[in-house]
Amino acid sequence: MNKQEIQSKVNAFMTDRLEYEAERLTPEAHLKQDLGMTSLDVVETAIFIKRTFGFQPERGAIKMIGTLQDLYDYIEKNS
Amino acid sequence: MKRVVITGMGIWSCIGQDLQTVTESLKQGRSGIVFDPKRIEYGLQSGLVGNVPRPDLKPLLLRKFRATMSEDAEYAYMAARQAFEQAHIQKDYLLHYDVGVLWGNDSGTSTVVAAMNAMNQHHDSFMIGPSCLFQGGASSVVMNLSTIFHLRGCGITTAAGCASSSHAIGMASVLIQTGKQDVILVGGSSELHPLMTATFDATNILSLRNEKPTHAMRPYDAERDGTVFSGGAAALVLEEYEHAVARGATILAEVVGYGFSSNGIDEISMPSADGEYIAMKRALDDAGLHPSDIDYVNAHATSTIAGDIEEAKALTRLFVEENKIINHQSSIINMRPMVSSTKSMTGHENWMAGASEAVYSILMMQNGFVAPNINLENIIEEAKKLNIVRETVYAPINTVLSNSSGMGGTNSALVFKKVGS
Repeated sequence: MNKQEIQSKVNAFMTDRLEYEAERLTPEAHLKQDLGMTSLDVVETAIFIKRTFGFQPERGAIKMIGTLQDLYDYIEKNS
Repeated sequence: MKRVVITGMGIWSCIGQDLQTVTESLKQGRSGIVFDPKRIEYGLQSGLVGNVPRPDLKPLLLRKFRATMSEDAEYAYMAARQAFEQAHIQKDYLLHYDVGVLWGNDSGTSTVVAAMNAMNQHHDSFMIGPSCLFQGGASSVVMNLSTIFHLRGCGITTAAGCASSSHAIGMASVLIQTGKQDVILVGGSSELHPLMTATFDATNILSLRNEKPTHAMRPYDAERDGTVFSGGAAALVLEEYEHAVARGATILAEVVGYGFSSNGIDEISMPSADGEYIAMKRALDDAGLHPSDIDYVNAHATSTIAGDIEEAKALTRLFVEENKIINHQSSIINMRPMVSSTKSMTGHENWMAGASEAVYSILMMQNGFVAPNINLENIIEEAKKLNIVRETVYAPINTVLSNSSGMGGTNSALVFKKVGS
C-alpha cells in the first residue's frame, strides 16, 4: 500500500469511526492534543490497523505516536 | 429526618418517550405491546415485546460518550436529561454541587453477545475492542451517566431483579433523609435484547398470545397466560425538601415511605404474598399512614399465573382485611384504594419497572386520574375484593403506594404523597 492509500484509509477511519473533524486532519496535527484521541480511541485505532494493514501494533505503540504524519509513517514502516 | 421530594422526571418507554405522551397513553389505556416476528425466527416462543424506539444520540452526545454506552444506557440518558431539565438542573449546577446517582439495573446480554461473537470469530481478545468493558455489567449505566453529567456524589447500582429501581428510589431516599446527599438522580433501565428475553422465555413465563399483542398483558384476568417484556428507562430527581425550596424548584411529589423484604422461602422462582405484604406494610409504617390513607395502589402485577395471585392476596390482606375503620356512626367501613397494574399497557419493564411506575403514579397524581388495568375481563378469585380500576377514573389522587417484587424473592414498596395534601 502506498503513502497516499495509507493516508486516505487512516483519514477515513478518523472521520467515519472516531468522528474527528476532517479539516483538522493535517499531517502535523497531534493525535491527543489536537484531535482529542482518548485511551479508548487508541485501542480502536490499533484494531483498525490490524484489520486494514494486517499487523497488530505492539501494546503501547500507538500511545507513543505524536502526530498524524507519525502515524502514517509508523503504518508504512510496519505493513 | 430530612424530607425527600421529587423535582424532576423523565421517561423513555413503549407508551411514550416524553411525560406528556405517556400521560395521554395512561389516560387512554393505550398498550405499547407489539409482535416482533424476528423473535420467533430467533427461537423464542413469545414474539411479544414493548415497542421502544432506540434513541438517536449522535446529535446529542460526542462519540467518546456514545462509544461506551449499552442499549440500556442510551435509554437511561434520554430519561435522565428529561429529569434534569424538568428539575432545572443544568451543567453549571452539576459542576458545582455533588449530585449522586443511584440506579436500578440488573443483567444485560447484548454486550456479552458482542464479545462472544468477536471471540468466536477471531479467537483473539484484542478484537473485542475497548468498549465492551464499559458497556457490560449492571453498573454500566451508572458509569456512563456519571461521566456524561459530571456526577460526583454517590454512584451506586441496585441489582434486585424487577424490584431494582424501586429499591434505588428507596435507598436514595435514605441517603437524603440522613443528610448524606442533597440531590440524587434515581431511576432504572432495561434492554430489550432477544437473548435476555429468551432466558425468561425458557421458564415458560411469557405470554404466547402472539396474534393479539395488545391483549397479551392482562393482570388479574383469569385468561392471562404470562407476561410480556419491555424496557427503556425512567429517571427521577430526588432532592432534600429545604434544598429544593431554596433552589425554587417545583415539587412534584414527596417520597414518604419505603419498605422492603425478602421472601425467605425455599423456591427461588416463587413469589410470596407474605413477603409482599411485609414490604408494603413497612412502607406504610415508614410513612406513618394507615391503609385507608392510600388513594391508589400501582400494583406490581405482571400477568403471570403465580405472581398475580400472590400479590392479590397481599393487597387483600393489607387493603381490605386490615383496612377496616370505624366511622362516627360506629359502622365499620372499608376505604379500599383504587388499584391498577400499568403493566397491562407497558408490559413488564423489568429493572426499570419500579422507577417507571413511580413516574406513572406521579403523573396520575399530578393530573388527577387513575390509569386503567386494561384487558381485565374475568377477574381471578383472589382479586375480587380489590377495587381494581378497569376504565380510567378521574379523581384527586393525593397518596400512592407503588409495589414491586423481584425474582428470587426481593420486595420493595414506595409511598408517594402530593406535597400540601
